[in-house]
Amino acid sequence: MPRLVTALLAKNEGAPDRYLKRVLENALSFSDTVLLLDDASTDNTRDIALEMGVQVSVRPSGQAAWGAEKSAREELWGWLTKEAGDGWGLIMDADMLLVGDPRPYCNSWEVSAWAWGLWDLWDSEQTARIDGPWQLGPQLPRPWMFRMAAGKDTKLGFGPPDAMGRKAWTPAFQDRGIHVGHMPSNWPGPIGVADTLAWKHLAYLMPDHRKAKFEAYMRVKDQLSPFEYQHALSVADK
Amino acid sequence: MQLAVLPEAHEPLIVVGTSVRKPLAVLQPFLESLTWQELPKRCKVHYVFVPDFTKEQADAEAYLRAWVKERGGEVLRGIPSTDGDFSDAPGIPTHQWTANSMRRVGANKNKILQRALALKADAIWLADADLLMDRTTLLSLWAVEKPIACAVYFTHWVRATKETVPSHAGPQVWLRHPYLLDGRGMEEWEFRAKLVNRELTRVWGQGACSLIRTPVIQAGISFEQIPERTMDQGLMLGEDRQFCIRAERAHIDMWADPWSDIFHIYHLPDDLQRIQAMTERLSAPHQLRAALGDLVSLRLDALEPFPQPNNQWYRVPPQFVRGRLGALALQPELEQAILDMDRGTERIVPVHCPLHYPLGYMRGKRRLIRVTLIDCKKFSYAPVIEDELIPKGSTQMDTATLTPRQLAAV
Repeated sequence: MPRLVTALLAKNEGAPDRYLKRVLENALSFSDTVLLLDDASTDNTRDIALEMGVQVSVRPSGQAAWGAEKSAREELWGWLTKEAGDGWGLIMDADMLLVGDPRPYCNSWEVSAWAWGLWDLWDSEQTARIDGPWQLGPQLPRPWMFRMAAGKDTKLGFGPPDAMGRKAWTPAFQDRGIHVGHMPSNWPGPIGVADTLAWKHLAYLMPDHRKAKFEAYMRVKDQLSPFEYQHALSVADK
Repeated sequence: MQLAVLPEAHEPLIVVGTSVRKPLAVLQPFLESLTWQELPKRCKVHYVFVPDFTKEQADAEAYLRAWVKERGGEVLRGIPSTDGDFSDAPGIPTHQWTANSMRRVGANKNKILQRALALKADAIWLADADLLMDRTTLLSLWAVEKPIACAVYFTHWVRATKETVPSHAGPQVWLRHPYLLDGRGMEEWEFRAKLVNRELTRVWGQGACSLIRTPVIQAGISFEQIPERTMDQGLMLGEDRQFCIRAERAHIDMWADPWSDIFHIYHLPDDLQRIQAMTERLSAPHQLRAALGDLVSLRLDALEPFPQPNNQWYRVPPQFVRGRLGALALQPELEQAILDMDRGTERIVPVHCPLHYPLGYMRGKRRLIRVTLIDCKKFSYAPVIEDELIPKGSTQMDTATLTPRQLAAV
């Protein structure tokens, strides 16, 4: 079975009402290694991760990722690429639980990434919100798991040439402060849909967390697209 | 705001029902075969019956009501029954229905459909009250994930009245109306072979043991009489014809699922003699694992997309494969995985395509196939048709179609 390394970016997820311990337990159940890039947390996020056997790297407090996410995403991707080697890398958040076993999918010779859906849990862990922008999560699978070396030697017909004139693939993340995306926007190669896998996204489960998330979005609303702004507004729906 | 229950937490509701007009000796084994059904994962059932009994069948009605009281469910009030508009008397070669009785049964079945909608059911299983069904019938119908899936049985529709007139068993699914087993690009023997070999097959006429998904009913499909002259006469009158034509016109596909063994208690009193043996056979639990030579019912999903000439990727729909393990055209990795699997489980298997593989693109490649072992059982043919396929000492053989050489061999 190929090696599977999971990586996540986390900030202040150690509070008792957050989900870090459950999320890491879940990630460790299907991963050979779990990497946590700590975005200058001020709570015990690092201690929880280290105690559970997760590898931790800490970003300096002057470079907080919220509102300036691109560099953190690049750092996480680079670390994951190095650790995964010829194996697979899975990117997740500190409030996501995976349903299903992703390991059999790592045997693919054909696709270089696997996509699956995401359920935004709302009020209970058995129900998810599916109206308006929320329906895209379950209906539009997004890639989460990658054969990290797949893009390494890919020659592309676009993008800047290297020193020898070859157009080689380099990961490119969107130049934005938030919602940069979990993966490079120029991932090469075919992507498969793993329909037995799904994320349970816990970020909007509790009313208090929704309130905090809404306020956080409103602080950076200038950076949101019209669609994202509508989505952010609907977080406050009762 | 709209919330949905997660698929893993959703408990699908299947309404099981029928319009009942059968004597106690037939009804009792039918109800028994409902109780021994293995339910699909997380599914719940709710029984809904509409009585259509004659005065002579009061004991059967009392039994049905007592059964529902014990098991749960409900008995709806049907259209008042009329004596004498249906006959299954031993003296006539087949069952005889009047136009009135067919409309009444259609209306009764519509009541069940409406009740299922009110209960927010996920599917409706309409099974005639003269069937004795294998314990995984509902499981198989659910697993094929078709809008309308109909389990198949073979019956001698016409009683063999004379030794010189052979009566061949036929299925209750058809390619063309009314009751035709050829067409849609198939000869009768091809269609029959598919059914006998338990292949999932698209049909244009079906009924009597159908699992109907709720969206079909929501799309307006019902047993209501179609107000057209051709639908109001002769063999097109039956309520199942009305349903099938409505579904066909709405482009809703119907599938015959001949996986399950079903015995049709049709000719009274002759068929009653076989009930005990059939009960023993059909109620027996299926084995946990398949061995070589056993019948297996599989679902195969190619997880990786296939390249298309227009530079796009194509996802192959799931394939439902049935047959004897060892004789099926499966790659060895799949066969080995199936031998190691328990019934009802699934596994993702890397499958290698050899260099001589027929599909050029696949040569030398490896693909991930998710295999689900829906069901497995010892090899047999379906009841009734097996009497024709495997001649036994007591079975009369119809030699009319044999060549002189075959006849000599017999």
